[in-house]
Amino acid sequence: MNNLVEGQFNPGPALSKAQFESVLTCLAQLSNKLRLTAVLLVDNSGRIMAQKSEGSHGDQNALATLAAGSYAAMRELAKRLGEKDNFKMVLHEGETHNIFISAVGKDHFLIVISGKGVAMGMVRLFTKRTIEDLGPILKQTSSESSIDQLFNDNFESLLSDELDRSLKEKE
Amino acid sequence: MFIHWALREIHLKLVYYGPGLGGKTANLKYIYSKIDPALKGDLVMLNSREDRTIFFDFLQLEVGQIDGKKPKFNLYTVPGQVHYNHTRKVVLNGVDGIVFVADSQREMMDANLDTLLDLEKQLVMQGKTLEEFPWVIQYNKRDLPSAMPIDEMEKKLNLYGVPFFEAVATGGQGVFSSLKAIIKQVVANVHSQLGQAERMRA
Ligand SMILES: Nc1nc2c(ncn2[C@@H]2O[C@H](COP(=O)(O)OP(=O)(O)OP(=O)(O)O)[C@@H](O)[C@H]2O)c(=O)[nH]1
Ligand SMILES: [Mg+2]
Repeated sequence: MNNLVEGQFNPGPALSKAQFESVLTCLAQLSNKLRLTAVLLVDNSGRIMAQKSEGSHGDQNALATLAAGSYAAMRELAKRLGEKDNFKMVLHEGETHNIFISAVGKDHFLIVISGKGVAMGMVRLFTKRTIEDLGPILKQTSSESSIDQLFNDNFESLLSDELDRSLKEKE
Repeated sequence: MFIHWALREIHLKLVYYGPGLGGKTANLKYIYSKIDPALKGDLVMLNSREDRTIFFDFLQLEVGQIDGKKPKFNLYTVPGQVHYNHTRKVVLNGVDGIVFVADSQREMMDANLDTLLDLEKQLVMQGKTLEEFPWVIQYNKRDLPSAMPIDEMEKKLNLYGVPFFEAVATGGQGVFSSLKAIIKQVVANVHSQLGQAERMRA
């Protein structure tokens, strides 16, 4: 993840355009190989970095947030049982789908949702390779854009107007 | 804050914090029930059978584009009950701003104070402090007979003079004003820090 203003105020992580494109390519390859229902790269807070899915499966943000929560809960649980920092995955085998959540470095994980027709061994094997590809991409630093460009002087007043317009009771 | 340059999205994480039964979930329920469907995702609630939050509630809101950027607000509540300390820590990770939902009933003042201290502790673990962090206070349950006068609550809880709002979350009073205020606080905070960074460079 790139720091936005090197050595200065760092408002948090970001994903550059170039990173996004590379990540999408990786996810598409994995999805094609395993005919996945969905694959999402998500950060620790459950924010979606990139996704590839077939058809619609409801609110993807809700899905990502829940995955982030269950992953974090399982990791805490493992820690309590004395497992060191090697907690890597959560697996749910359901009736129609398998859900496989797997760490990508320290700050991200991959949610892989596959149909029951695909062997879990295959899913694990190819997911592992994808994770190896994703690691270096997410570590890239880029000076592509700076936060100054994002918040120009008008931003606060424009935002304020937009909040008044959107965030209100709809009758 | 997280910036997705390719999609031009700015994500902010806002957390509703406060004592158990104070009305955090009621805030999200009200927002969800009243906002334009085009602007909201699903309301996710992880509850016990008694409707107490055991992990978090989640709701994503978006507003129209601003100068070509799409702000997205990720709203979370924490479980207020004391023993859910570890889940609160997980939910607070990466928080950008907090709405502290205080329970106005006199008998809840100690719980408000304990929870505020707990919040300060959690922030310190993330290298932040209440003094510098963006937050607002919502004095909820103003409709109840045992509600304390606002001045008295202000003296006890509003240590740093942050914006505060009187609310009846179940009926919606004060809900949207608290939400807008915390968003503005967070953005103003980013701005002022950028200004500081600039002055240091100069
Ligand atoms: N009279 C009144 N009741 C309220 C108000 N806000 C919430 N309540 C009620 O208080 C109870 C608890 O509200 P919740 O929103 O579930 O509280 P919470 O803070 O999410 O509680 P935890 O999940 O345990 O942390 C519910 O029965 C609400 O209907 C209010 O402003 N006035
Ligand atoms: Mg709740």
